[in-house]
Amino acid sequence: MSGSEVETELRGAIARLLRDRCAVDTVAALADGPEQWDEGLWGALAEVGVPGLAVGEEHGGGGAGFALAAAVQEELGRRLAPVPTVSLFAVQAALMAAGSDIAERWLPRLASGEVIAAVATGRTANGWGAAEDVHAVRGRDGWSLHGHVPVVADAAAAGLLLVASITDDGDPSLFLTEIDPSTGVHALEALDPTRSLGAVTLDGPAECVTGPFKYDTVLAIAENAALVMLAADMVGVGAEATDLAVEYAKTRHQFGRAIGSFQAISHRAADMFVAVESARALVAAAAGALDEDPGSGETRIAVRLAAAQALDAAVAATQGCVQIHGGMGFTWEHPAHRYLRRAKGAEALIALPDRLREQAVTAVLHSRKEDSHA
Amino acid sequence: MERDVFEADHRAFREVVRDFVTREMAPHMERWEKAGIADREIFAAAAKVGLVGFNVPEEFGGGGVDDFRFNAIVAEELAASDVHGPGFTLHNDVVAPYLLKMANDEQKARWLPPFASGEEIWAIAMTEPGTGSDLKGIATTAVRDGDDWIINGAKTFISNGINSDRVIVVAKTDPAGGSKAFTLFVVERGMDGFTRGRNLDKMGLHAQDTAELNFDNVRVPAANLLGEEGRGFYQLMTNLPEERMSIAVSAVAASRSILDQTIEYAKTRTAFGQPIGSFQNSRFLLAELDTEVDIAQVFVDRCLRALSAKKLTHVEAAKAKWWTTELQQRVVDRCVQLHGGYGYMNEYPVAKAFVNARIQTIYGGTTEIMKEIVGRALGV
Repeated sequence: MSGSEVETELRGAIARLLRDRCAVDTVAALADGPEQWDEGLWGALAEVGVPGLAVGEEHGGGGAGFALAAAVQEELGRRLAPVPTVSLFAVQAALMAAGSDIAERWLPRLASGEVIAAVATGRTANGWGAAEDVHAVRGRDGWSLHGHVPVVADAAAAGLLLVASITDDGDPSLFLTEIDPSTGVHALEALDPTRSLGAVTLDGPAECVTGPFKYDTVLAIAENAALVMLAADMVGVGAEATDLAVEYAKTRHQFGRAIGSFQAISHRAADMFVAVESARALVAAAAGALDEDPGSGETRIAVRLAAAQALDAAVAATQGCVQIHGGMGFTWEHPAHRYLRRAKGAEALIALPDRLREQAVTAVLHSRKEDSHA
Repeated sequence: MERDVFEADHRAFREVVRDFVTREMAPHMERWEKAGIADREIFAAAAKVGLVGFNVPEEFGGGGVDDFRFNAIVAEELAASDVHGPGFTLHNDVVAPYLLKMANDEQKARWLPPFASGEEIWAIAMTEPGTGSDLKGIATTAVRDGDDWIINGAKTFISNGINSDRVIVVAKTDPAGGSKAFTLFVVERGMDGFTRGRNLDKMGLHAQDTAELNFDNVRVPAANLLGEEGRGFYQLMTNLPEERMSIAVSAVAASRSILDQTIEYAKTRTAFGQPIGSFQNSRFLLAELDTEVDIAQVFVDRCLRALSAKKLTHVEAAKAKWWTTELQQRVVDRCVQLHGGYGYMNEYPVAKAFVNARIQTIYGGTTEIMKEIVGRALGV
């Protein structure tokens, strides 16, 4: 099978699974209820190998790379799946880049879906940085982490956290620490209930994945992976919102004809479609770059441009979906608001598109400068 | 929407202006555009009916009317007809206030009568090849020599640059720089060393002469120093609301005019068996633009009322300038699109309106500088 046939087949399989296990009603019931994520769906996804897609075969994964993982994430976004893949894929990317013994010990358990991991970092204008209120202390029995991280995505599902911290010796380092979501995580009420957010309290042993030498590279790769996966998720969200709007525009009649035959509607739907398609192409390119050279300047640029476009497209498409549905789109029963929430939530979680473009242009100018020195 | 800013006198004046623009100017536009300059005699003809010099006191031969609404009417009527060759608004809205506020009695007696009669044409020269928005970068120098000043330097993008008989020149009189380093001088046609460079070829406004000016050891008598030595920078600042409102007023008038023409076109031009205006895309677009131009008109009229009562701040003028001229860009751009292929043909007014509009967000202070002014006033 060619690469694109593999992708088509994989997308089809995931879409079928989600149709059964992650219908609109299921998501709505979970989102409006006390559960933070869909553990049952996670089990079903683990059975077909989703958690290990991007992990190399030598670590017990599927070896399919981030390109295919992104395609799956798009399908998950399309169904608003409340599962922690974005965070898990980011931690896997970090551990593969770190290559340390500790990383290699954890990767198989993350690839099988047995353990779910999430990322706890601080946030700066330039992206991820060390968590501010976390102390990393070296004791007789090894490292321990103490402190608080105010917002961690998917913490409610996670048994393991990748924590960026400055040690008491002043060295930036990445740690893995096991957490118990039932005690160490305080659930936050988020705009988007399909992606849980939690405040995490840390007070326990940790293992150092990488010290200052590879800290910047590994953290950057984790962030790249998270951005690509979130962008892929946004493509799915935007695509489904567009499809919902187009379907409605075909069947809803006003003034004696389908509302989609009015230019005000058809042009807006066309704009939504074009925005989402452009985003899909950029995300595919960024995911490919992540597979080829996850830490390069080129990848950094591709990832940010893709994420910026995908976030913009998702917000525009989900806003358009609400508008085209008219009063119907404003009801709680209709899923339009859930798509809009997922899009706005992603924007808040990762970065505003303008900020991402700012980071990209800084990287472009930086690489130009290096070229002219060469 | 009915405008409530004008009174009977203004309305009568508008009739006179419209009549003059239609009969004495519009028929010459094509020739002026080809020549790249308007006939200088038009200034005197315009002064006779009161389009120029109306705000100069009667003792100097003007109309003695100090009410910016009259200035606005001239700007509006020229913009509505897309007649732009002679820089009447430059005369009325920019040069006149400088002379009225800063010239001493001797200078007024010398300069104002021929200014008011339109016999002498004026220009103001600030911009230099290397200095646009950042006026403190001006490199033209004036050095005192006995009772005279010696001016050296070059100016560019000077409206009325070829036709002008007298030019207000901003020059640096203190090599140390800073905001107290600049002084205004009036340089006259025929002074040794004062030469004109090219009449610049522009994207639009082809009938307007816009020139380079060169000053090579030009000896200017101290009697031609305008205002106070070292105060030039502040003097330039005092007149900004008038300059900017002049542009804002013309932006709205030009937008309204081309939009009305386009609405007419959309009613009569048919495609796919129906008038193009009846397609929802065109109808909505026209509805949006018509709404925005009305909103702009209300804001500008409110500013106009404040300005004629001498209450308009330079920040309010900056807001009016940037927003109306940016709106004008969108209006002309969309109106070209609604005209289809014809919109690209110079024989259609919309094509000219498109290129003539483009400078509006640049001269008189760019959109970016206007936002700086507004932003700084917010304390951010």
